[in-house]
Amino acid sequence: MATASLPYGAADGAHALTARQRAARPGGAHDTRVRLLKWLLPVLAFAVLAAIVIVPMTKVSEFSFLLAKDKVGVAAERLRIDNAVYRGETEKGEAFTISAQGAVQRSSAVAIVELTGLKAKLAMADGPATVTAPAGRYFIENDRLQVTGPVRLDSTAGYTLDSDTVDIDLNTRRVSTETPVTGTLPIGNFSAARMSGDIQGRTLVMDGGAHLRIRGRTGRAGR
Amino acid sequence: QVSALKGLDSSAPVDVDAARIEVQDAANQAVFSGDVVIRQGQLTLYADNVKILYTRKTGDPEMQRLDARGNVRLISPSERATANNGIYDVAGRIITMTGNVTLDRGGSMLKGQRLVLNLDTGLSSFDSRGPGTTGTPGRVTGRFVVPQRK
Repeated sequence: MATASLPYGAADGAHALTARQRAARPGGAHDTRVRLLKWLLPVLAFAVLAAIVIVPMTKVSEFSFLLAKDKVGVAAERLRIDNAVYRGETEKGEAFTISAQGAVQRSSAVAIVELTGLKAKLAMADGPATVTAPAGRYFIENDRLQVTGPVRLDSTAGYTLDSDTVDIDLNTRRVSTETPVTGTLPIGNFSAARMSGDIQGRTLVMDGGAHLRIRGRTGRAGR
Repeated sequence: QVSALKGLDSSAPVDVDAARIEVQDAANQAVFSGDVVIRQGQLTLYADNVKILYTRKTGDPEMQRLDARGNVRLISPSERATANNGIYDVAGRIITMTGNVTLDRGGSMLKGQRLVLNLDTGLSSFDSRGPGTTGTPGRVTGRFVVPQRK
């Protein structure tokens, strides 16, 4: 019977084996490699598993955080608008707009908007009347403006007032101040303890001791 | 005798002090009430109520007339006059005082019903006609002081 030539069992012709056959012999290169891998691979697998489980707990991960309500920057006011324009209508349906460089409403409970650099424009029967003041507060519910500092009222007559606080009621179109006031009217400069009048300057009452310097015919009041 | 108010600049600014001022722009007038004091140049006018009428031709209001009522006193460096009413016609440069007018000028006293002081000439004319009415009999009484001749 012909002996099947076993490529790897031929002990007699060892020197006649090919490289591949030599490597495949027991104890050859392939065996050592497999023996090595037999313990290396499980160890690697275990190491990777360990890494997955242990690593998240050991290191302090710096990017995760707990959102604390008090630590977060809370805006103090409820509403802040820059270059705000507020369009409204008086009870009689006359439109008015209030524009301001800055408008802040402290909280929703208080219906007052604090304005800086404000200019109120009212549509009137005989032309618009504008009220300009450096700062003031707008009472939303009753359409009332309370402004501080020099107030300019431009309209057909056009006059200016300077007083601590000037109340302007957009509904009744009246301007009044209880604090000492100075101002200029078309006919001259005045100062008084109190003053009230309509926005257009049709009728103005200054009392509590008032002084009016009527402009001379040729020169201005201050001549 | 010529009043010191001669040549008073009626277009000079007028200073008005009062307890209450009401400006009625629509009617082009301003109403002053309560110890009104009006000063223009050397003229000082006291009254209980004053109404100033102005016109607005060139946009800038110009004072036309000044009506003073109640305890009107006119004070100037050269004379003192009192009356019930006074009218200062700014444009016409004439001050008219009516109703129990007394004029005290340098010690000499004049009484009558109507005094007209012309600011251009500085002269004042006195008559006894009632204010605005014509020819009511009245007398002008006067007491003159003759300056001592040293």
